[in-house]
Amino acid sequence: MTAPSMDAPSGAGAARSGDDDLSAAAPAAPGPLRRTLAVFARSRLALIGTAVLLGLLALCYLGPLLHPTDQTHTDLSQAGLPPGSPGHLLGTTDLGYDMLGRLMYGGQTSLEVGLAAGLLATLFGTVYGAVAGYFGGWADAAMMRVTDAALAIPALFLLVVVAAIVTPSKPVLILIIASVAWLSPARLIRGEALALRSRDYVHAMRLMGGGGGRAVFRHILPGAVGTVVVNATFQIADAILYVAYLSFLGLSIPPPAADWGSMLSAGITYTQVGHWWLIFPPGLAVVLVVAAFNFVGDGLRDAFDVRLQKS
Amino acid sequence: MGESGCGKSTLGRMAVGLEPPTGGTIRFAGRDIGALTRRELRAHRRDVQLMFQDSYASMDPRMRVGTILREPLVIQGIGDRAAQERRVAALLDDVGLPRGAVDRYPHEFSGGQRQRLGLARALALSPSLVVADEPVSALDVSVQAQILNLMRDLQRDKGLTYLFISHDLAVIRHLADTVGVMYLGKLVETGPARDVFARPLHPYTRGLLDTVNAPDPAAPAAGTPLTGETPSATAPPSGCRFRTRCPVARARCAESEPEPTEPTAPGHRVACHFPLGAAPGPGAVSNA
Repeated sequence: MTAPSMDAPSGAGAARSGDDDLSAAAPAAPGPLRRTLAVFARSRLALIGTAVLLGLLALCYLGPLLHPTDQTHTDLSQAGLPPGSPGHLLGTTDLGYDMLGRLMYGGQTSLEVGLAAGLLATLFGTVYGAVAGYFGGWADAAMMRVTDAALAIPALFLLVVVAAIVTPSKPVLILIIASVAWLSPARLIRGEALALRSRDYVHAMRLMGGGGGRAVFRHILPGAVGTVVVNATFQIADAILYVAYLSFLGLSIPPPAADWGSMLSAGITYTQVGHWWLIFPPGLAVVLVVAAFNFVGDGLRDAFDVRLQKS
Repeated sequence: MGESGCGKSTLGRMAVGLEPPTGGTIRFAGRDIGALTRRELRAHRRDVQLMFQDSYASMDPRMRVGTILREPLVIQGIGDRAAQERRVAALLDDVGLPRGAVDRYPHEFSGGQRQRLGLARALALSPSLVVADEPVSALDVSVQAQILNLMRDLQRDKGLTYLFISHDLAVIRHLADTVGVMYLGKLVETGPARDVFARPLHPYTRGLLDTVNAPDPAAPAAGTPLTGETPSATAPPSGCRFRTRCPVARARCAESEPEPTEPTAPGHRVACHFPLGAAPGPGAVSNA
């Protein structure tokens, strides 16, 4: 290659022209948060998912205020009423609980345990994975063998064993599910930290004299935050499903407490006699909430992708 | 300068302390940087900075330019926030970018502008040595010229030394005072740029210069361009590493590795048993 314009006039003033103009008068670019939200809002599914989640939250937490029901005492005189019965929009269960009220009440358990377990798993998994990935070496090897070993056992099997040993209450259920669910975020974030720590901008920072703390908190964690948030939404969806699994197998919080899984389990006995309203509402609610969390997660994944962010 | 994979970048990364040498020591201003204490190393960072080849990868995409340029000052604890911001504005002036750039993100800039930012960041700590690892290899020729002229002007104004790594002979010829030619991890020839380009002593240097196409495509190819593949750097040939591709290699080249000598002029060193254009040395005689 030759150098045709090597003798072009030099100096800052002349050198400023040339590549495309960067007008100083143009408004400053919006911050990362606003750009993230802008991309998120472009996705219709993500918006639908958000709306469904808000709707379900309103149903479970505001619903009981408008439609108070007794979910502790059975009332056999009102048992097995079909949907549309006076005062019971969704009918009643075999024990006379109002179905709509139970859906709200059970939803509170499902959402609370799912959210808490999903967030706890993400938090623990993120810290574990970031430590393993950033420090590397034998610490990384030892920590990752632990997760690999645990991942080799089917999660449902682990859940059932643990839930059979201890008597679940809400906090216990949260811990049980989180103790299984943290494995996948740990592996994910470890990979992310491994990739981020060898980025040129981390090298550049170390060349300026910066230390490991600055690398992790100013560059690696902000770089991984998208992955963490996206993974959290999927973890919550999974945790809600786990709650439903365990309840369905009768290993959840004992009655009269309820959640969507235990409602399904109780209702399935009566599908033979045509009591479809016992299983469709909780089943639909589980599907809706899991799908909504997944849509939101997908939308967030796109939103955190810097390449899709246009200013 | 040297071909891809000869160890130019590795040398540069070792010079700034990003990678430890597998053997030997790196000395800067008479001190072994491998033996510095943590505190000394931190101070040494102010003196030696790196300008990256990939300007996009070298800046955190989530940070605004103002934060990126301020980071070296923050890490080294230089000045308060206001002083740091004044310094950033001065740096942007130096590299010919508008001060409004501080509120923008790296991806909003073109390659040439980003490389200016890379230079500004490397200069933030007022280093005496800037290691520039192929800073213009990804840019258009016209933009390359702007960046190189900017680098030369800043060198003159700020008394900088560059360790400029490149495989582009035209760029080297334009910028360099002293040239080192690398082949498979070894410096085979060093000397003043003028001498090395006008009277190359090592057959490899000769080959590199002959490989460059003349501006006139009708002109007959001069000399003998390099042919063949570079041997593996992990298992280099015995003796002289270049002998497998060397047009003048003889039996002796396989037996012993040539020591650097200065056959023509002081300061122009070459590691070759049979340097070009030089009077046959004692080695050549004994082998003939």
